[in-house]
Amino acid sequence: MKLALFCICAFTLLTVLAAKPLLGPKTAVLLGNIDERHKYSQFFDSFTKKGYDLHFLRADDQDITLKKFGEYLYDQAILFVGKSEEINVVDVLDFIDSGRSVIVATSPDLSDSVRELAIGCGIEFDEQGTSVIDHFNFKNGDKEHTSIIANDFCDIPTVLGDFEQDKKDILFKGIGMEVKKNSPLNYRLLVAPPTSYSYFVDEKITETPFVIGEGITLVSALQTRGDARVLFSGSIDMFSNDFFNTEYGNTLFCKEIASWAFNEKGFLRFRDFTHHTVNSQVKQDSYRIKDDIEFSVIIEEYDLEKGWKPYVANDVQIEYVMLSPYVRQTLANNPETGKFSTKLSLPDKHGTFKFRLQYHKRGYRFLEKVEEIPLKPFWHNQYERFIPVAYPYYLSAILMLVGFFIFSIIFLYHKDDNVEKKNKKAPQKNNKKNN
Amino acid sequence: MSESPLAIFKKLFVAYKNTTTQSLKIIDCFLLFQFLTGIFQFAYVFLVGKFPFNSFLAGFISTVGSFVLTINLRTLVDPENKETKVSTKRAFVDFLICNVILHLAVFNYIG
Repeated sequence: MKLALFCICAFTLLTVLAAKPLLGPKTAVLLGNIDERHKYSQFFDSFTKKGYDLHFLRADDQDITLKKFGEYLYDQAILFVGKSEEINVVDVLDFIDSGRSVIVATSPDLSDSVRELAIGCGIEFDEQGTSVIDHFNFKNGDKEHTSIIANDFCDIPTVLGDFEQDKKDILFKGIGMEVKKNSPLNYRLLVAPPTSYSYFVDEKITETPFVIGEGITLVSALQTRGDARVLFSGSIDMFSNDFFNTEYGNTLFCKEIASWAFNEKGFLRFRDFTHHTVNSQVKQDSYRIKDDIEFSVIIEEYDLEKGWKPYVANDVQIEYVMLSPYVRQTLANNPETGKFSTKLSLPDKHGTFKFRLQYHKRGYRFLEKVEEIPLKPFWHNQYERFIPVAYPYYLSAILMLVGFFIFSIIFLYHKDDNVEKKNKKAPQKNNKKNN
Repeated sequence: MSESPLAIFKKLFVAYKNTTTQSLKIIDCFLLFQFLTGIFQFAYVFLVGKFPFNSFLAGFISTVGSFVLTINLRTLVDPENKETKVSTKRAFVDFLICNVILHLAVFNYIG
């Protein structure tokens, strides 16, 4: 009996330990009212099961910091700040800049500091007090038409994860935001239906709303160049148990995007960036023009249970660049080892080139590596000899030389018809013979 | 005068045969040979293109250079030349040395 109990305990402990969040388990959860955490228990429990260690803090508390004496106290953060709580914007932006991910959810009562934080991440929330209203797509029984039903998702499979196969409508009740459409770092994960608009509830509309229709973003994400992921949601209720327990797809959607935000999906790293000429296996730091090279790199993706596993894709490219790419090739993938390799033929131009791996795929961590490898021109004795096209020229030069020899023999030793000339020539010839 | 071009050419040819010495005639043969080789190379580069341009240049320069040197030899050796008074021996040695230098350059550049 005791043995069985011990085995069960050990097994559960091991499963918890086996799942390892990438940066670390310590997660700060900032709530307006700590007692309300039971309202979101299903959402928070999904993290605890995966091995995260949640520390619940009061958002309004002036004493809490994310960083102490230069060291970050937490590895990621969740901010449910929707009741006019002020947050330390500088602190949070610094936390994000260090590569740590944050999930931010707010509500129509958001404070100016939350708006400021969002603007620092390229997102603009609407004014305090406004809500997203839709008179056509709202939940049954909602008098104010603010609990809207949205189903316009982004087309990034990595972010949506399992939700991609099982898409359902999402119930949303909160404030809208605007995200620039062509921003390369901001992703619009959930967009409002075309019939919605963002304005104060129960007020007559006297001016154009800040955002309308499909311009309203409900949930968005930012992927920073420092590998941090920031999730912004205009609704805290979206994560609540009440909304999870409906027939809408909130449960899976929120869990999947939150797991992407915490680097459980799409977090890549590369190693063994090597190249060498086809014959030798030695990596050189410069090559000659028109050389043939083999290039390879190993890319891995982080998985919560298995750790780093090989990345599988067919769109990783390598470039050989001097101001503009002279060579750009897609790398062939080996799914077992995660090795991406190809054969390259270096260009005919000498100069300072660099190998550049630039992988910016939406939903994945950005990979960038630049290695400067110059290209040398031919040595004097590496050019082609005896080119068949040039045989006539070789022939003419040889003929000239041969002709010169024959001519000089004839010229010196011919007998003139004119007797006078013969006499003149004879002493010269004698002189030559004497010499 | 109203003589046909053919008659003029014939006259020129006969006069040439009679007035030039044997050595000059030999030089003239060599000149003609070099000229034709040069023309042939030029036509070849027009047809085939300039790929090994250094080879074309080397071959062409060998013909043109030899042509120029042979002309020089002819000028100096011609008995009707009253201005320069150089012995045939001296003229030929100059010709020899210059040709050596020319062909040295040509075979280095022909690649």
